[in-house]
Amino acid sequence: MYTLKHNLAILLTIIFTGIIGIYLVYQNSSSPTIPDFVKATASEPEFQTTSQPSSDGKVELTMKKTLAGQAENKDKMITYLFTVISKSDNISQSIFNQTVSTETSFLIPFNTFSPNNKYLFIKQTENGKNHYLVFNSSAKPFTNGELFLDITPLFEAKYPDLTLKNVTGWASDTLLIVQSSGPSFWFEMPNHFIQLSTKF
Amino acid sequence: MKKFGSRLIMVLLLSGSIYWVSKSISENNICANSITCINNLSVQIDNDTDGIFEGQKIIPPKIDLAQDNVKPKVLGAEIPAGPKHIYVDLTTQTLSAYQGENLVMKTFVSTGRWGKTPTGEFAIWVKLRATRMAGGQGADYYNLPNVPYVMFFSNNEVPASKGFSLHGAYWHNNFGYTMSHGCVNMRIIDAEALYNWADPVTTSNTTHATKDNPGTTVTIYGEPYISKLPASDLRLLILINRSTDNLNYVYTQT
Repeated sequence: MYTLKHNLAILLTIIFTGIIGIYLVYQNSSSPTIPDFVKATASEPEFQTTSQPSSDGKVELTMKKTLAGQAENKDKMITYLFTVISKSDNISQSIFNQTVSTETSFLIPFNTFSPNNKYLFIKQTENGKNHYLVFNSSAKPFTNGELFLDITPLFEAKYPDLTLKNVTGWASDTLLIVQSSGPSFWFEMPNHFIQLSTKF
Repeated sequence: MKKFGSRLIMVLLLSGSIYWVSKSISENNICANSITCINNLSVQIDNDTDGIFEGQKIIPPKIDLAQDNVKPKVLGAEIPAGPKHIYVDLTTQTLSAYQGENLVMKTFVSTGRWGKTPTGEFAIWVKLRATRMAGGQGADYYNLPNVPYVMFFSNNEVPASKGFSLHGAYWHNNFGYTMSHGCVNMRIIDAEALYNWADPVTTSNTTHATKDNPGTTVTIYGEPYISKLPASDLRLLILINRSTDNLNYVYTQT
């Protein structure tokens, strides 16, 4: 009799433990896996900031690149924000804001500002091709209504047999130095290419 | 015989004169600023005059000496004292400044395109808060007031009268590429920082190096890539400047 009761107690304990175990396993397996993007957005957005002062140090161009938070975008989009800061009064002026895929990147050249700080240019690389975008430092659009001038398509349209290699900096307040597969050029703001007879 | 002797003396005198004149012309040609480095190597501030460079009118920045009274932040202040040395690499167009073994500054510069920057080991012999620099001739003529933070350097082979210096440049922004007549052009903010750091320790707007306040050593080395801009391009720039109103440019390759 004692044996029968004892075996019954053991059996009930096993059944109870099994039920509890099955319940716990079910609970774990039914817990949703937190997707990566949820984890990513749970953290604070991160920025990578780079900047370049003008020669006289009176203004500075900063570039803020969004590093985190983009994982929620299937296409891995990155946002770039360019701002000109006046150092004397610390006033910021946003001049350009663009969200692009990882195939596109931006860079602030060392010689970004014109000597009088009226203009600035940045370098955009898209699928391995470089574009040089020139802005008014005041963010004011050019007379054609455009916010910036892209030197690359302007050059290609005028000199289809040449390849634009580099834009190095400013020869004067209004002259950008353009290097090509052939001779060098001045690009005089806002819309004139002037061919030089040799490489500059 | 007597006639031959007098003729020989005449020939020798003539040859000597030709040598002296040609040497003088040659020396003038390698001078960094062929006008001012001979006539005037002193501090000069002109806030109300325009400059000219590459045929273009340049408006120089105004200099307010009162602002200099605010104690400038000096490079290397947090670094142990040590011998100061400035290196200019013509190949990479960079300048590095060391205090002891510590790098306190590295930046792009512009060295000689229309005139050669000398190589070797030099010392800063005078620092000028600002001065006028002029030189060249014809299409190459330039005259630039208020050139800021000028550090003239020299050695036994390149004397002070040649006028080579490190200084700020406000008329272009193409550092990392040759752009000068032989001097070492720097961004104004870089020149200011270097000027306030380099010896002789600044005592006034003109500070000469002395035995007790010697100048920092400047070593210039390397070989720049120079594709000389021919005179035709300089002439073109003058055309541009003169035709700004009607924007009609004519380019003639010579």
